[in-house]
Amino acid sequence: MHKKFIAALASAAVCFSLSPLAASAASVDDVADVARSYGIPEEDIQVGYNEYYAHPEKYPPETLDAAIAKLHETGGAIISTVPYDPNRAAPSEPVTTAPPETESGNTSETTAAAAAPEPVTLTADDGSTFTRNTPEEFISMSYDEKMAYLSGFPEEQQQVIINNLTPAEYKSLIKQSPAEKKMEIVHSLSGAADEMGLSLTVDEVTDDSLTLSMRNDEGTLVNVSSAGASVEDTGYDRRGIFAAAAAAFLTALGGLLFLVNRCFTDDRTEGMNGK
Amino acid sequence: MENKKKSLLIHIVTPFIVLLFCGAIVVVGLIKPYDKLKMYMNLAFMDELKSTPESKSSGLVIKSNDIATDYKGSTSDEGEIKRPEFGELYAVLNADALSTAVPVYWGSSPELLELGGCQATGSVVIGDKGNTVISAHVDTYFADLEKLKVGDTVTLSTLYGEFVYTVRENILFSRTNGSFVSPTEDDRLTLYTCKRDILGGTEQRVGVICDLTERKFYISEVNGNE
Repeated sequence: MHKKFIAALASAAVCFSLSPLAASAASVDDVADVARSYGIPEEDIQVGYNEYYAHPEKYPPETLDAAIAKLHETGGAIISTVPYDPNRAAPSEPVTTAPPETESGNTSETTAAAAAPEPVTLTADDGSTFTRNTPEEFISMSYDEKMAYLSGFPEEQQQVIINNLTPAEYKSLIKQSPAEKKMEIVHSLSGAADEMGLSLTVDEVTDDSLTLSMRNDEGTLVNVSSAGASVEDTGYDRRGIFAAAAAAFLTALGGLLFLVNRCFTDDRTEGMNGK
Repeated sequence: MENKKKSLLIHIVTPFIVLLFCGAIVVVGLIKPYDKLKMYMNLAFMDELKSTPESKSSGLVIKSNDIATDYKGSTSDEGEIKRPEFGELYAVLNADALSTAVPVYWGSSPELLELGGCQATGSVVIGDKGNTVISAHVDTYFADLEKLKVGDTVTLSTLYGEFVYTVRENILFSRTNGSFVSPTEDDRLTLYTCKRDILGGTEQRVGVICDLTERKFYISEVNGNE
């Protein structure tokens, strides 16, 4: 569900978040780079490339600039600053485990280095530096833990952290976002699509899938984003047919047994009475 | 009197029992032939299907093209790719192991999967650099996909050229594993379908990865009719 959400909104963002707004000289590769920075899967970036190369006249540089702006907006919708909570524990220092001793009694420096994750040092706008946890540690947190962790920093530092999130961290955020947040992001993309005469609809939402369809103003389907790395359902579900056939077979078998039992019982009863 | 009742019961119930037994066997036995018949009917009446372009309420416009699979004109290693629209028939796939030529549509949807192979819009257009990914139903168009072996040749004919691939690897992967359908640096063709299961769809997918061995862009225009 989460991967498919990433893919669906990614290809929607790249494909159609291109509205005739203002201008500079971005290229399609620039759009792809921005999309990658927000953790958008390569397959969805490919959708964008395919769309661009199919209709390059529709996407002049100023339109690509608008696409980049929309991607930044979507990135902002994925994560934004939260209220600073000074009561939250300060970001923890990296934990250094006692290095194991070798047989000779010497410590293993290599093991010690591997055990202690390096914190990430960031520079705020005022020039001061601060540390945050590693991307791997951030990714391993739940969504609520991530938000709680962020709230332990002043908002200026939160913004610096957000500005320096890795694509993998963005991916984990999108994956873990609650449903309301996901719909907020889709809504943001829908607004962008409306400006371009495209309509974005959520065709299917289940625990395992999310399908977004884009249609033009004539109602013609122009793209379907059902997941970046979309593995299609290429088999027919026969369980219903086999269940019905099994039911018929068992019913027939039951009837046969009933008949046999009835006839055999009747014959035995008659035989006993005859004696 | 009892014998009469018994005889009546047997004569009434037995036909129903036989009917249920035979019905169950026939239904199960006709599943595969039905799939094949549906596939061949779709192929035979392809043009009629395209003449009604709107696909119910989904907005899908199915566009047909006459694609030559026996082009004899001049070709070149380089040429222009004609990028298709969603729902457009833009290639025909041929391989000796497959019982029939498979029409390939750009885009994937349940309606398009009924008509032929579907190419993922997140993969590169045939002839472009990267991974071209095509899937189709295991019970119809890709029923013989597992017969493809390393070294076999797969040909994709399009309006703008013919592209020949050689099977490099047979693959088996889970539905949740997107690594085989993701973009790649090398030029390849990935074909996949559901792993065959008596009950129908499974979580496993089977397929092949093929290396692009020949690019033949048509130099003269090939007619494509709608």
